[in-house]
Amino acid sequence: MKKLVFCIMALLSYASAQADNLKAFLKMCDGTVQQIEMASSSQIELHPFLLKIQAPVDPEYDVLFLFEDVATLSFEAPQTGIHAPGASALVYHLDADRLTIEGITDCSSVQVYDTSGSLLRTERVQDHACQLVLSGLPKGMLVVKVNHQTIKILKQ
Amino acid sequence: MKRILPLILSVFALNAWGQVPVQVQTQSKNYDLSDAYRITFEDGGATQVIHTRSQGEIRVPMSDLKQIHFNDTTVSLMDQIMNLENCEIMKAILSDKVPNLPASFFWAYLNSPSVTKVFIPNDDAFQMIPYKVSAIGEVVSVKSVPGQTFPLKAERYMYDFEKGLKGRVAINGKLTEEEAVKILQRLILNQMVIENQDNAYTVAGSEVEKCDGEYRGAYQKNALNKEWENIPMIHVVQSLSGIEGKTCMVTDACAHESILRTYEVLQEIAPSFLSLMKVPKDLLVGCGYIDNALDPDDIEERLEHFIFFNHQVENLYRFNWCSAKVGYTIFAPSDEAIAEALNNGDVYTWDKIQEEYDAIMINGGSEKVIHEMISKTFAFIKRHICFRNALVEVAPGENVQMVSCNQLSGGVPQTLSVRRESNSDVFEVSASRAKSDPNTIFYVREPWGNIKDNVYSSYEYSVGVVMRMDKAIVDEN
Repeated sequence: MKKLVFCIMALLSYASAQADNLKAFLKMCDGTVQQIEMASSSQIELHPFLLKIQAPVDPEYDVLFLFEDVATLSFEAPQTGIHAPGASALVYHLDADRLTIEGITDCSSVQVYDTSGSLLRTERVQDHACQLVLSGLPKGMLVVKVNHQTIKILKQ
Repeated sequence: MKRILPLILSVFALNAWGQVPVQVQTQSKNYDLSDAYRITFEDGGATQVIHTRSQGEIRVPMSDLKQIHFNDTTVSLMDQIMNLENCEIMKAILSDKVPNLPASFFWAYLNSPSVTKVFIPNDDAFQMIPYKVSAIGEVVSVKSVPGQTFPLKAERYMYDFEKGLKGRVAINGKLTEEEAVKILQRLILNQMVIENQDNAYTVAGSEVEKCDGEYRGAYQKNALNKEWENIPMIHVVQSLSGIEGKTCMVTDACAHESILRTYEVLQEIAPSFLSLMKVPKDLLVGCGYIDNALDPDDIEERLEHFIFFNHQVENLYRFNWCSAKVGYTIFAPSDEAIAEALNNGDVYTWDKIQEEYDAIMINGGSEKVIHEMISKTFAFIKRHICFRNALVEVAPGENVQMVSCNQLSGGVPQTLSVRRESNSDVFEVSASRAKSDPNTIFYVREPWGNIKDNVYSSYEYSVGVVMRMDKAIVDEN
């Protein structure tokens, strides 16, 4: 199964295009909203299983979502529909190898796991935000658990 | 984390999942782009380029784009609920995993067009289900026990409602599966909400209001009236939107019903009317209104039809309503209204009837006069007790015909015209234009059959509403 996972990961490599100052709002099927900042070099790829948002700065990193988890994508804050009043949208900003997460309300730390379930790193949340430096982490898919949700980063 | 890995692997294993349906919604048009494979941007992000296999590149100005739907645009609420975390109890109940608590029981309510909002209490909320409510009361705590045949464990704990402190497990506090099922069935019904313009009610008839960002059920409101400020209010942790405007809200506390009973409310808002409802059995039998030649058992059976309240223990009286399935409304005249009705000879106090009967016993005369006084008094009382719950069934600004109760003591029912004002809970009833005082409207609940006093131990409860009226309702028959 692991081989299959990494084969799929290996396929996820496409050229980038410019898109300045974009914010992607993903309404998730569980009712939450996730906001990905796409300052530059961004493109979104649609695969049978995955929605991949290419990191704006460093093409080594992609943010992955399982299609099954995503309800809608828009580029302005959703006005209606699914929303989480207790936990406003989580904002992810991936700048080079630095992942900043804002809007964290329900946890005191953020954990990073690999696909085998091993805990790789724990970072404390301060002022509802957390910054993760991904450079020291192994390549492959990283699962970041925050606010009872997960975001998946593909490090190539 | 062990839960995350299987989830990821199981999704990747869904090879048959195949192509993702993608719908692009613009201001003017919807595109079905199920073979889209990439989205890029041009003009510094001002234009979105959707790359598709069959239609090539489609350019959509960002200003025109509304949103892109993946999967089904109408994700079912149930699917969303099943993906929630910390909601294992509700998930178990709604997915038919609790023996003797069939999920299908709730489906009719969940799918009702009237039910627009459903609270999904999270597992924390199930730790604090009110059970016996007094200054020192009890709560029921329900925990998820996955893997067991009965996947829930329910226990009663001592609880100080004034201070909000949960204490030790109550003596014999472990609830049987049957007891847990009864409590939960009733509780879940009270999480399903029907909304009117300004008000909301659960399908079991309890009021739910939104106040300062939190919801309050009838139970929470009663607690606040008693200045028990430590009662958990209902906060929305997460909100899920479904089709047809339905919303599921994950909450950190449960909506509860009123804990008040009919007798208590009448005692508070309409004591004179309550006095009329306290029918003296001895008088009915003594004066021959009920055939006193019958066997004692038959007399008792007949009396059941003439008695509004059955005395239980201490100050506990059960309103003798006919069914758990039919709500009721008591339009209780104020003391002043009763005084006026007495003055007009529309009704008699039982003391007055007893006095007249005693006079006949001493001086001689026909008991028929007494029987007529009794019948008139019964008719008066019954005109003020109606089938259906006015708060739930009469929408603001609407006029609804309700039928007065004919179940107790026989007689002719009266059709009442009940109008609700559009912007308040003032009800105007019948030709007499009796009006309710919106500050004296209470939800009440009443057990029927041989149920003990605990309001949370059974779903076999009638739900009613009692309100005080400024005038008595006149006889229109």
